[in-house]
Amino acid sequence: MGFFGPRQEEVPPHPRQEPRIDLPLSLENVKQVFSDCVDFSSREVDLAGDERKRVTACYVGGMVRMERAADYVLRPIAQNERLREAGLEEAFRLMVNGALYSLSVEERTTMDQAVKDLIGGCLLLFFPGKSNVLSCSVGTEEKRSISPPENEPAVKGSQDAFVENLRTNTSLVRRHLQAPELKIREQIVGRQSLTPVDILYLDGLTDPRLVGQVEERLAKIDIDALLAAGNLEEYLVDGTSTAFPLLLHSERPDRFCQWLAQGRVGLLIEGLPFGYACPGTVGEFFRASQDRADNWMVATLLTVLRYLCLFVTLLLPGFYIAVVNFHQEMIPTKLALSILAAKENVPFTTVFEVLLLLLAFEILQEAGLRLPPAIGQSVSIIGGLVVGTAAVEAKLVSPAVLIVVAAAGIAGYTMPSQEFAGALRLWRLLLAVLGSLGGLFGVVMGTAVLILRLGRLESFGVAYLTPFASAAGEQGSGRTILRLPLKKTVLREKALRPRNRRNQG
Amino acid sequence: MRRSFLALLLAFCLLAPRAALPRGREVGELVLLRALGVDRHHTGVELTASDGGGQGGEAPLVLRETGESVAGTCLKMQEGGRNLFLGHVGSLLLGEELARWGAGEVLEYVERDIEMRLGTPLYIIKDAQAAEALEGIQADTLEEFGNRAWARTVKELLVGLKQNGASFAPALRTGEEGLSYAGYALFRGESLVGYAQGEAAKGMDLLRGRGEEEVVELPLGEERAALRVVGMESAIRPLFEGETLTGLEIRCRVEANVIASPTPLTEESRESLTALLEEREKARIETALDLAQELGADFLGLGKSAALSCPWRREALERQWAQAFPTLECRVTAEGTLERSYDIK
Repeated sequence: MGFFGPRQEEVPPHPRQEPRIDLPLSLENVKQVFSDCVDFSSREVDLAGDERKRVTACYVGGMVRMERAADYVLRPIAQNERLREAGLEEAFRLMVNGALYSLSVEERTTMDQAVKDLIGGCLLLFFPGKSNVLSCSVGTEEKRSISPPENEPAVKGSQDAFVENLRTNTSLVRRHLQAPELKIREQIVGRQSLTPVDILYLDGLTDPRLVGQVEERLAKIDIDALLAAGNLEEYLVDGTSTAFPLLLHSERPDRFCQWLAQGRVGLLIEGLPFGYACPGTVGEFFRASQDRADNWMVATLLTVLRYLCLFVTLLLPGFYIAVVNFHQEMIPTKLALSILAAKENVPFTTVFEVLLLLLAFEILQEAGLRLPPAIGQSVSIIGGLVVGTAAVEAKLVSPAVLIVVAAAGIAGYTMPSQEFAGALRLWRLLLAVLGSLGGLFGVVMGTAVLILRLGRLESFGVAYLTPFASAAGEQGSGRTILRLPLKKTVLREKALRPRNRRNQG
Repeated sequence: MRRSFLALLLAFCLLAPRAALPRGREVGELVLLRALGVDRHHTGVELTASDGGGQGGEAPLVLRETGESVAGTCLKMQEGGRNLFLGHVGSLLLGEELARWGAGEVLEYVERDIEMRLGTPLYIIKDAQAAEALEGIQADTLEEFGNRAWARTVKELLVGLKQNGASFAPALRTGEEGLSYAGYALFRGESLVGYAQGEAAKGMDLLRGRGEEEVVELPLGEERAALRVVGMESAIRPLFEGETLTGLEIRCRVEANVIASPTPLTEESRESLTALLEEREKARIETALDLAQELGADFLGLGKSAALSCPWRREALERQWAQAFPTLECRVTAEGTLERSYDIK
């Protein structure tokens, strides 16, 4: 028995079975694999009506498009005169070489390949007496149509967003980046989900070591299923002991392509309607997709505001607790009197008030997110206005605390990356607790620990605080906080080690 | 075992430094004092503290306590569960009796106490006790005095005493209409030695180069014109004969705007007004200088200013200053400038 209860049992080994299906490729074995699968179907077809030459077509319902199967495969098999005259072996060759109209006709020799094709929307043709099969691509392309981005809207920007279909997403990227140097490699992740993950980069621009690093980490992922974003993120990043995001992500193909053009490596995953880019550095989390479309002065102002909001959302509650409880002399007299007047008849301590409201704020936000938008808005209004006002009027909390917590919360919403804002929320709570323990000393120490932690973080070998803490030996440039005119940002970030640093003529 | 150890270590790390951390005080439980008065008492001192009446114009809470020392009396005042906070004291009032007896202890308390601020404005209550002055007065009224040109902080008084052995602070007088400005209280050492009032106080303002805007009425023919004094500046230079300090040359520049004139101004009338203004200001400066020399104390730091203007004579000046100042010949010149005289023909 340990301090935290019963000891955890030993984790048993989890060897990967290779090949996955250790059976010879045959119709019987395929049927055995797909036994108890109602969507699996097979049908016997005579070659050009000759009963002596009968082949069996297998497919998984819903994964193939019936018209394509009928028109590209079954019709030529039934009607092609050359197949009538040819023997089975020759007919097999003819089909591989173009007797079938399907765009892709491959010969498969193993059960793993054949089963994967079946699930991927191929129709398998089994020939009597042959151990090889033909795999004809007739898959369906049913998918959600491309729609405007919901989470990253842009006034002056393209109105397309990634969808769940991987090939559609790669096509969107290809349309934005038509350079043949755009390379797309694929790996399969997840023992059960067999999810294709595509690695995208610009050859001759992106650091090949970075590409190699991403491929290596992806190859090491041995999980059951890649169904959620966390399944990839947590396995891909350098460490999980931080709440700060180490990968960039966007649902906008134009932004994704911008990252590729900077020398980053992109990742697209089947089933996830957004793309990842790595490495993620802190400066990039403060840039919004709209920034490059806006006038540089306006964009700079907004970026500076975001940095100010970072301090407000992170430090304000902790600072308020510290000043009100420990350093009252720092408060201007009039403000001190206002706080004092607001606190009159409130039964709780300032620390309790702030922590309570911070938690209430998180609860309200969570409640609003989990509900349909219409109801979510109502919850926010009821929570924010009605409960907030009532709490102040009932003297449960003081208006000053409500203003502080609300200001900190709203400042957090200015972060373009809500994952980054989430990490700040966590640290905000921690700094508030430290502020209540040691006043400004606690807040300063907590902030120092935060900076040290961030300073130690790396994303794919690149310092997370780039370019604040590490500019790869280069003098820090103004573009970190200021969005300089694009004509003046001639060089790509050195920390990304691009093979070609010039980004314009 | 390892986890248990880590849990205990974590708990220790969290709790151990708590003892060394500063102790917080809930702001709601504090009584924010905004004015402090100190008077002489037969036991030592009498402290009067006022919360200034808050923001709503309520009657101020006034606390009184007597004791042997300022620090001890402050502690005594906290007894009975009161959590007094002196960090927002915006006015420090000293009764005349205490000021004459010696304000050193009070000034030292402000200097050393972690809550009191050296930037607190200081006033001497002329012919009365500080307690009387604080009775029923709103802190906002007192703090408005702190924005006036004649206001002086504890720090300014202390610096003056340390550098020149003499300094000054504004004096307030109590009356039916509340507190009002009554010139400057003059300190030599740590004790009040006299007051500069009326023209002498105006002269001190001119020598400091800092005074309230003032409307001056001067004769113009058979009628009177009004000028608003908007700027003043003084330059002080020592006069030497060989290595001997023989006098002080004081030049004062005064700027004034013509705000009312019975007749359109001519060049002659303008010159006449300027001459009258110069004469008046010169007389004021001389009154202030006479008072300082009479009391034998350089309240305004004239010696320091003179040394700054002639740094190469600093040693000689500092050596002779204390002895020479009471009888030093002062040549005062005032130069007036009338601005905004648009209607000059």
